[in-house]
Amino acid sequence: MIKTYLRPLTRLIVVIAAILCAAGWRGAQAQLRIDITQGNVEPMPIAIPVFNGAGPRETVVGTEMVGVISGNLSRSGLFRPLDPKSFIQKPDAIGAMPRFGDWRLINAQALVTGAVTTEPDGRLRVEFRLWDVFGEQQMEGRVFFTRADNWRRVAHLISDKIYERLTGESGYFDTRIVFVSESGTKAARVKRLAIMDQDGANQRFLTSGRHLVLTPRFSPTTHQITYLSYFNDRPRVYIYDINTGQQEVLGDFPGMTFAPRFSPTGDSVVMSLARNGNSDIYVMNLRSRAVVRLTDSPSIDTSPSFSPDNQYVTFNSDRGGTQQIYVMRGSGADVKRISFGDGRYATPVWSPRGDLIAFTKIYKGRFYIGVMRPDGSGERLLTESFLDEGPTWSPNGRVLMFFRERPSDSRGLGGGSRLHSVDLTGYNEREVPTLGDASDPAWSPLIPLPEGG
Amino acid sequence: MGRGTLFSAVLHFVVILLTIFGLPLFSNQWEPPAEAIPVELAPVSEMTNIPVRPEPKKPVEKAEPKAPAKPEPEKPKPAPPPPPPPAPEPLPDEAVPLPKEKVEEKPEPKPEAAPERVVKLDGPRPRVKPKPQPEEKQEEKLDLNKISALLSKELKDPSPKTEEVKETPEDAPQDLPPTQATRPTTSAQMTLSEIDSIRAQIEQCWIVPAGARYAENLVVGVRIFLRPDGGLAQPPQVVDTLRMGMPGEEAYRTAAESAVRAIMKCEPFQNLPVDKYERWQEIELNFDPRSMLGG
Repeated sequence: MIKTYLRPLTRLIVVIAAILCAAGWRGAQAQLRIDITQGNVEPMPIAIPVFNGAGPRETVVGTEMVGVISGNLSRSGLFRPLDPKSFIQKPDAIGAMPRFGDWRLINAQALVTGAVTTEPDGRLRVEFRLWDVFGEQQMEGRVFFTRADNWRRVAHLISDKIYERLTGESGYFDTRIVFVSESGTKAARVKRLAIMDQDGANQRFLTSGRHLVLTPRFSPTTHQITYLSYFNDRPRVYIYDINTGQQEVLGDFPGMTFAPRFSPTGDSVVMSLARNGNSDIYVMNLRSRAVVRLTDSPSIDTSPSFSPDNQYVTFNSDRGGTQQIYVMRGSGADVKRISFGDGRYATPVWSPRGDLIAFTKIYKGRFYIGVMRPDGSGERLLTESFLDEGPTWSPNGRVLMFFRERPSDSRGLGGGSRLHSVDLTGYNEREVPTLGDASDPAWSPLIPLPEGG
Repeated sequence: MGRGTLFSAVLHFVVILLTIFGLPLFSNQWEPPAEAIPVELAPVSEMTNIPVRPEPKKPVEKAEPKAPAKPEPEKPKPAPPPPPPPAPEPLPDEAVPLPKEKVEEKPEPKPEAAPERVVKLDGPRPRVKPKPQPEEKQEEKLDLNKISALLSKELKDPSPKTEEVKETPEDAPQDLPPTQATRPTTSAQMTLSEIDSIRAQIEQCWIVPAGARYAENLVVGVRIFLRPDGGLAQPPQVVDTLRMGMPGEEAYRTAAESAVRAIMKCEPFQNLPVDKYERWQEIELNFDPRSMLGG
């Protein structure tokens, strides 16, 4: 009975299966499918002819802006600005619509055109367009109005727009770096807080240098920096307002405070506090000044950094015997070790886009800057040297800046430290120009645009 | 009981061991066929691309002994230095799957319009020469030659043989190249090397969108429609067009644009087998950056 009942059913299933197979086969046959899994990891060729100026003054500005934009895009490692000598169509002949054939011939994949004019009220009017050379269409177009002396910032904004449109990631060019500027001899080292544009322009000092400063960190609101300064030989956490120049001590603690860092929301600071030779991690709410202790172990817990969603904190600790990286909830619960490679791990910093944690690794006397996923997998070392330390993320989480110390020779000469940047590929490492020695860089978030800008 | 069975088991084991150790002489002879099989697929097209003339000799020799393993070692000896690898090929061909391919591939040469001129000139000679079996082998190899767009010299050789095919199986399709449409399913499949050629061209032009956050989400399908000359018949179509315009999918849009750019830059595509136009007139390309970005 069962058999006779089953047979027609199975037969039906077979028939249906056969039909489906046939349909699938036809579908598969109808079209050739090819998987493209290999390509070139090379910078995109982009043509940026000089922005047309309405007069000689505007032409100078337009030329300088193109220099800044080309520099930004080139340093990102993702773009290769083409040599203007190769351009067939002259910038002043482009007008409303470029001759795309001319730009295809020189292998440009994207084209940036622009114009600079002066408004009746004296402000600069900068217009730019980004063109898809192969698609023959405009991808982006903006107009900026600004004070004449603010052209450099507009160039950074334009760079960000180009970067965002072509990579799909947010940009990072309209940002600043705060760092510790070092001068003087080794015995009498002067360390001052300094700030500059992301490309090294507009450097200036924020502190006088009378007190030693360490580990500056940007607030997500960009108006404030938190840092460590020695006052009366005691390290304390300060907050400095860039706009007003005011600084204040963050609470008066019985022990030493160090390694401060803002939370992603900017309303609290996470830091280390040492008491009786044991340091643990604390969070302070900046409004209520209430302090919450996150770790409670007899080991040294330091270098805390929040995840961008504010849910987790990564820090390093020697509770396992050697210095390693740990992750815990924002409340201090669920502490998990994530670094298991050879050597010691320090200064974990959570990427602003959340996917990676950057760290310093010390192995066999060499220093490395590397990244790993928050679960500890996928460890990759991006740099190696005598001493690389203190990684800080660009706001889009694609580039790391850090400082590199060179060993001095036997006479104590030739040493010093400089800022370097490296992108996540590890292939695009560059020195960031600073006046004199520099260490402890901190990358600002994107600077907010003023209303109506 | 236990001892007896144990003893006999040990004895058997020893005997087996002895036979194994005694075998190496035999196994040496038997190994070649086993090794020859994996070589089969890739070299077929490569090898046939080059030694067109030496081959006709071999099939004749091979056709006679066919099955046994011993003859194999003999063949390589007479064969000139370049062909030794091809020698193993015919064996697997006959032994296992290729008959189907042969049937399918025969039509390939026929649709090709160009060779026919040459065919008429050279045609008469070879018709008489070989037996049906070797002919088949030649056909396959020769077809591949055409496909890979070899020198005109080589084309002359294959073309006569294709005429021979007429005599044996199907006459109709050859006379009318346009009849391709009537039997799309049976027409020749693209060979791996042909597909590789298309892939290589596009990969050369593709600049991978580096640094994308979630590379595994950035596999982009693009449909292209080609003219017989390899140029684009219409602009490439991103399969998931909707996603391109969605807010928050900028990375996908970037990936899709990089794929389209690669196609536009590469077009027109070269070295496409004209006789298989229906196979490649529409292609779906899957741009998959995962292996490049370590995602």
